Amino acid sequence: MTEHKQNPMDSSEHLSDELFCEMLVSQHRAPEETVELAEMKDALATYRTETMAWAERRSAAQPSLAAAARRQHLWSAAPQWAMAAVAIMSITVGVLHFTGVPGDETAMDEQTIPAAAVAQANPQQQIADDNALLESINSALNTGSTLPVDALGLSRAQNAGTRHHGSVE
Amino acid sequence: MATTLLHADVLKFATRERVSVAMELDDIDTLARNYRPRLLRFVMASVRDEDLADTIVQDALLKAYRNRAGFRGDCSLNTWLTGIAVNLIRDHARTQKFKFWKKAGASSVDASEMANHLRSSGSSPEGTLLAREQALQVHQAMEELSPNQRTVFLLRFIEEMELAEIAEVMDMPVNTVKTHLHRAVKSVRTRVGGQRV
Repeated sequence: MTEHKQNPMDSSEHLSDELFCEMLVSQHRAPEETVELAEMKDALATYRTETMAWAERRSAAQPSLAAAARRQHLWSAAPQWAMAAVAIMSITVGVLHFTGVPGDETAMDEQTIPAAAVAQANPQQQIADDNALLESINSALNTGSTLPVDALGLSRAQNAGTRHHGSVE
Repeated sequence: MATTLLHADVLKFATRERVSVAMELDDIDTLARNYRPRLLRFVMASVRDEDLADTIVQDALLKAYRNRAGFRGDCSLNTWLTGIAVNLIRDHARTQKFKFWKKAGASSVDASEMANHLRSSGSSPEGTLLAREQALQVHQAMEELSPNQRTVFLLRFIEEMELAEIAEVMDMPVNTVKTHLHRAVKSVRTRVGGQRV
């Protein structure tokens, strides 16, 4: 490298690769330019011009990208739409659950409703049954001793004790 | 006073440039009209397949349009677009399909439209017969370069980018870019010079 910098051109006017590379970039023609360098510059200039002409011609035949951009925008937004749909579903299910709108309980209630309806289908019979039940309860209460303590004889024993204490005094 | 005026002019110019770039980026067809030929030339010289080059250029423009909010204006729009194209070429180069076509095409003479255009007599007054022949030799010599060497060579001598811009586009240090460039020039010089002699 250092050797090249000290002696960029050898006796046969052959540029070092480093200098060749540097001079290849510059636009103006230096007086020390070799034939090889000048030809390479011309070749690159021709390459630039001709390939650009080819690319412009091919690009002009290409369709508009606007439709592709719109399509791509829709596809790129698809995951966002999916996430939004999942979020809305979750919120809806949560709200319905906590506000007490019947879910599975509805089915259970639907099973009990027909039984109640059957019971209320004959109200006169129901009233008669209720009255008979109340009657039986009343009759059971009115028969025998009035108090459970009477049945056990505890009230008499209590009275006797009271009298005993009184006699001592 | 003069400094303040100059500063104001620079700011005004920068603002105008930014507005212009934003307008270009907001309209995909304007973006394609202004940058597709340049991108296509670079991508085609890199991949040597017209259909693949069209696909990569289209993907690059769509990607740029989709991510236009991410363009901060630190570099030119052309540099930014070229960087996107370089990354897409790298992605495609990793796929087996690309490797297969590359292998199949390596043994045959480059019969791509671009190579044929270089071969044909053409209508450009700049293209003398000798220059045209040597341009084709440069095109063929680039085929033998490594991907990094070819990209650096193209960006430097065909796209006429500065070394710092190439370093940014290729995401590598400037010194590495210089190394790839010198090796590429040496190789191309040997091939083209050898055929000349």
